[in-house]
Amino acid sequence: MSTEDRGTQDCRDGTLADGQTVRGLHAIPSVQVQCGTDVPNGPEERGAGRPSRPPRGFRSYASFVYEYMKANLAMQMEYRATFIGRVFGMMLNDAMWLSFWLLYFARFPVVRGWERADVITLWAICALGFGLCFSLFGNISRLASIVVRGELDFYLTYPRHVLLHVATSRMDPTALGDVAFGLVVFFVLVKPTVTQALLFVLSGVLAACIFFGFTVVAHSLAFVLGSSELLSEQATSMLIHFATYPLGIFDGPTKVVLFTLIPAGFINSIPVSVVRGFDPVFFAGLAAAAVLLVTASDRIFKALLRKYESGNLIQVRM
Amino acid sequence: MVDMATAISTKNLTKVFRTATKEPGLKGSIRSTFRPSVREIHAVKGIDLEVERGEVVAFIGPNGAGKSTTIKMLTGILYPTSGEANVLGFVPWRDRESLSYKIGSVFGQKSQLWYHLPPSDTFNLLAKIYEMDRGEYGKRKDFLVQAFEIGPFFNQPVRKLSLGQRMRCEIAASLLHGPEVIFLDEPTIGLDVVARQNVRQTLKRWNDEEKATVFLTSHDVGDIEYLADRVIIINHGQVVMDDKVKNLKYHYLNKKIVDLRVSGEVKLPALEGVKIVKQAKSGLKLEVDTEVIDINAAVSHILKECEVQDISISDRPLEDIIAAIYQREEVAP
Repeated sequence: MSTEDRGTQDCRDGTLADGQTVRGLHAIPSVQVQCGTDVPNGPEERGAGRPSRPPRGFRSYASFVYEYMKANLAMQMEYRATFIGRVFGMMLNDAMWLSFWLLYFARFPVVRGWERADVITLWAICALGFGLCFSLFGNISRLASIVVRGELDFYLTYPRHVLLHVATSRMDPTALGDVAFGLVVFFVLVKPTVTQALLFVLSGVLAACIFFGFTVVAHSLAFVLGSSELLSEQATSMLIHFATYPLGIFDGPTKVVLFTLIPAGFINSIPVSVVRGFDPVFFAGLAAAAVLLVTASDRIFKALLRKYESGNLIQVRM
Repeated sequence: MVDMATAISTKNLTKVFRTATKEPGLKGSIRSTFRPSVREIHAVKGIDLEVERGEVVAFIGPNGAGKSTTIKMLTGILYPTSGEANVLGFVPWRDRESLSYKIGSVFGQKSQLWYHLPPSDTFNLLAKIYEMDRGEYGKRKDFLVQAFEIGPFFNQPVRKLSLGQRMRCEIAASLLHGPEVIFLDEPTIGLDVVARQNVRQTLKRWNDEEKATVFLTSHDVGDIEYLADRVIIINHGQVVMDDKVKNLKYHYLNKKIVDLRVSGEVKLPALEGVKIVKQAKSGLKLEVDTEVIDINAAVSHILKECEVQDISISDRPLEDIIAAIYQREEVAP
């Protein structure tokens, strides 16, 4: 039977023209139903086989994030030239910044214990962490705006963890440039051992967690303050700026701030030390900070969600 | 104990928004910085609702009446300030994730389709979100594509679709997981007459078969007449009327519209209960208040006074009835 033939069978009263029974919805009078299908029957069977409780499994969420990654990439590929341009543009931008540091270290080889390889590692980890965070969870940079404009409605109607759903539903293509830059610079310029390479990737992932947690907390202010998009963006920018400078150049109170209020120290200092020479205490500290920030951000977001007020703006998913 | 025949129930459901107010101008802005004043807006004031499974209910009211706020509380988007709600045995804001498997929603002003991707990609994503297995998803998708006649443009980016095509895809997408209750918030907004008719017919056919509960808000009376069995009118955050659509027409049809085509000059003497709505050279449109004068008496009088070539008597349009109810409530909230 050709597809056309199958598509024009009359499926009235739940029975297909070839005698098959359409169990379900599915037998709409006067609607030509694609035959050969066996669809669930009646309201009581609709949705059968799907969980009635929220999905909690790691596998379910991994598959969900993967599907969003594919959709995000497909969306970016609709405009290939722009996408590729943005990725390479960001790599070039990062390279420009790093080259200033390399010129500096060519003149002053050691600055408060920091050497050329340390700054390269710092930039590589920072770029990898930032890139991973915003290429996978690019929408968190718009979180405050999403809250203020009432765009959370969309995510709240689905059976998924709201924060994860919001975060994954958009990617920042330039962040892929950061990922590429971090990997290329580290492996080409630092020439690491296998252990260092492994620690570098792990540190990058943990740095991504810190970027994620901090950005979510900063943007969650919008639930309380209202239109706080600029404030949230400034907070995220501060973290990025401080994270790209060697911690050694800061003193006393500033260092305290960099390990508390603006946790850049967990991106610009500890990972570099971990990669340079593995210290389990430092690594555990980094991992604890990452887990703590991500957990706190989730809790804060969830608690403040009660204050969400929605909105009536016309919205399109771009 | 939740009645299994009830799909939606609310008891004294209330939502109060607190919003900052300020006097106009820079002076007002500075003053409000130091002495902020907050105003409470009672968007929903103790609504009691009961919707049976399989019912198609139109939930209507003028702008700002509290329709969307109510829907948002029923779908778990907003927390209420006080009161109770139960949708399919779930408390929406507490059991939001579990409830989401059982309900679908279409917000006419908020698209769930990815603008730059074809609807097929959004459908794939939704299947993952709802954890549908591949076989079930394939069957359901095939059915919806056929039923909503979206096959010809199912693989075209959404940005290239007309509004009507997009809306059919939106509704089909919201039915993918087989919801038992669907919330339709202005599903035909912005559509032209043909597209609107198309969406209505598709929804009607789908509902006749699935017997799902539909909670519809619309400013388009055509949607209500075509789809709904029952109409709940809300104004100023309160339910002001809850009745079957046919009863609504019956109770409010105390006025009949009489259209006349006449020959010669029309000289209709004043008659209590008969009002001339429009008068042209060879035509006349009258409104007859049947509480004042019987329609037969009015017509006999007209036939006596004019040389009538053609006459038609019709009910007052539902749109007018609803507008009258809104206006009445505006005067006496």
